[in-house]
Amino acid sequence: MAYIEVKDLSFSYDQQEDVIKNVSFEVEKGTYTCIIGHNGSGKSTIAKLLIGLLVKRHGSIRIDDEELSEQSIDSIRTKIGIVFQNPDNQFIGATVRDDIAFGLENRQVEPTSMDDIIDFYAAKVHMDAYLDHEPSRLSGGQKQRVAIAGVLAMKPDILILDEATSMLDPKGKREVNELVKDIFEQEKMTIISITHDIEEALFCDHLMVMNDGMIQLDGKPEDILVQTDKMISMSLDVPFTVKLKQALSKHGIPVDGIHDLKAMVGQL
Amino acid sequence: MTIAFKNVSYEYAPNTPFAYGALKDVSVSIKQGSITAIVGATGSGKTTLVQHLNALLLPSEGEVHIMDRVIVANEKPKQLKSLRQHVGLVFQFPEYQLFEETVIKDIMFGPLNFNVTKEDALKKAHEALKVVGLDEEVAQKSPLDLSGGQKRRAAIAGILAIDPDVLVLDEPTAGLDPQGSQAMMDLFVGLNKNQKKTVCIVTHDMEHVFNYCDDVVVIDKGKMVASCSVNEFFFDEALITSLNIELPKVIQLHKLLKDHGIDIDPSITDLDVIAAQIAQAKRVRP
Repeated sequence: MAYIEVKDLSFSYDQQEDVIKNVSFEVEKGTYTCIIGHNGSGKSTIAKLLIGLLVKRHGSIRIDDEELSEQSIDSIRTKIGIVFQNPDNQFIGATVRDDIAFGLENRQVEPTSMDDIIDFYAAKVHMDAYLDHEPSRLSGGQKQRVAIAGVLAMKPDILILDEATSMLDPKGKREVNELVKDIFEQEKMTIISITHDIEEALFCDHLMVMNDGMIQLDGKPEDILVQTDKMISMSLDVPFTVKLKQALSKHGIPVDGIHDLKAMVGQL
Repeated sequence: MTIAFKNVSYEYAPNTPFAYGALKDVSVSIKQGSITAIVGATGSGKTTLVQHLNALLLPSEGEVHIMDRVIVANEKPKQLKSLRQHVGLVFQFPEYQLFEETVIKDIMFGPLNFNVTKEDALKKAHEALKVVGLDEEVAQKSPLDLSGGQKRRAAIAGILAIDPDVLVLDEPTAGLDPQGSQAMMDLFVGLNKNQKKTVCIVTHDMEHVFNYCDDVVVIDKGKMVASCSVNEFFFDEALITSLNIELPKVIQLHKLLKDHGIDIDPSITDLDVIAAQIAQAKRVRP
């Protein structure tokens, strides 16, 4: 039994046209899954269905062997943390410290241990120098790092990132991706990342490509991201290394691997 | 010289515990008719800098010259309205500011504020809609019924309808999918080439800087650390290293090839041509 099982899931905003069309997929516990697809393909809607922010029209969602329903939603939500694209919509506290504390207070964490937890996660996202700053005065990327700290502090089993790094600069993006990777490895967390970052998708365990409310491709990134024509037909790009590999192969130069540009050049 | 900053400093919330110096003694100029990228890490002061361009923020110290106008610190600025007609600023996530009942009314809001007649505003709005690549049928829809990419185009159309000479865009492609952001950059290049607009783009995307921009202004911790052409920028190793900037993939490839003893003209960006030259180099020196 997979940790997350979605079966024949359909959803419609207007009761007329389905924006999620009969989608089925499984996510194993402790894996890093990426969902990619162009804007409007249905990626974020899937995330909102998983955490019960939207209610399915048809089908089933099972998380940790429990059917998502009105009765189970509260217990399932304690297992899931989500970070949205725009952090402005998820700030509550007057300072960064208060904001991270908000989730902990809701989980009734002992006040005496709260400061240590806050300091730990603030340092993890490199925002420890900003604990007494007002979130609204931080720049977009700083806000997002605080939002991620707030979610991580609650130690969810499943972390959903809904384009959470799309507002960060490349350095911030790298830091957050590395942080998420560390957390993933240390805490054996299940991660679902909805992303436009094709280079991030290259390194996941499990990749799903959505188009027009359906999952068109589901498998390992190295099998999916090399399908250039198919990806472009869905308004997506392929990683630079794949393009290079294909250009080299056209000129009779085979190289192995698509993960490391340096290793590829080394083979020339 | 369209725009020049002279020793500009800006402090948020002065004389409070939250006081924060976001710009420090910045002097830089932006050429008329160029596409200039404003780059720098998150929190470096890029947005603060561009918000001076239409006097949304006024300098705490120094002067900002915008075309024939001068904004001096601690002096009441004059003719702000006409300045804002010449400099159009598109915020981050401008789609959040759509508010009218229909897209066309939203786009007309700008020109109407500048005392354009209703007929002319409508005409300008329809033109702007066309320029940003939205269908006529979108005009009468509610902005809420558009997709994310369409909303952003509608918001940009609202600025274009004012017909500014200088277009300033704060991270215009953030959150768009790769194809959407490429189309957006093509739009700005078109406005620059066809309508001779000066374009300033705040961006983190080095591929965009490399492929679409002429000049680069680098802001780091509130200070201007470089102002140069795109090519000078990417081949300035010391600067790139100190800023911890990830180079565009094709420049990374050129560097790796050079280290590997394969010399290819670094101005070539087409992978097919690069692969052909690698094949040639290998034949000569297997």
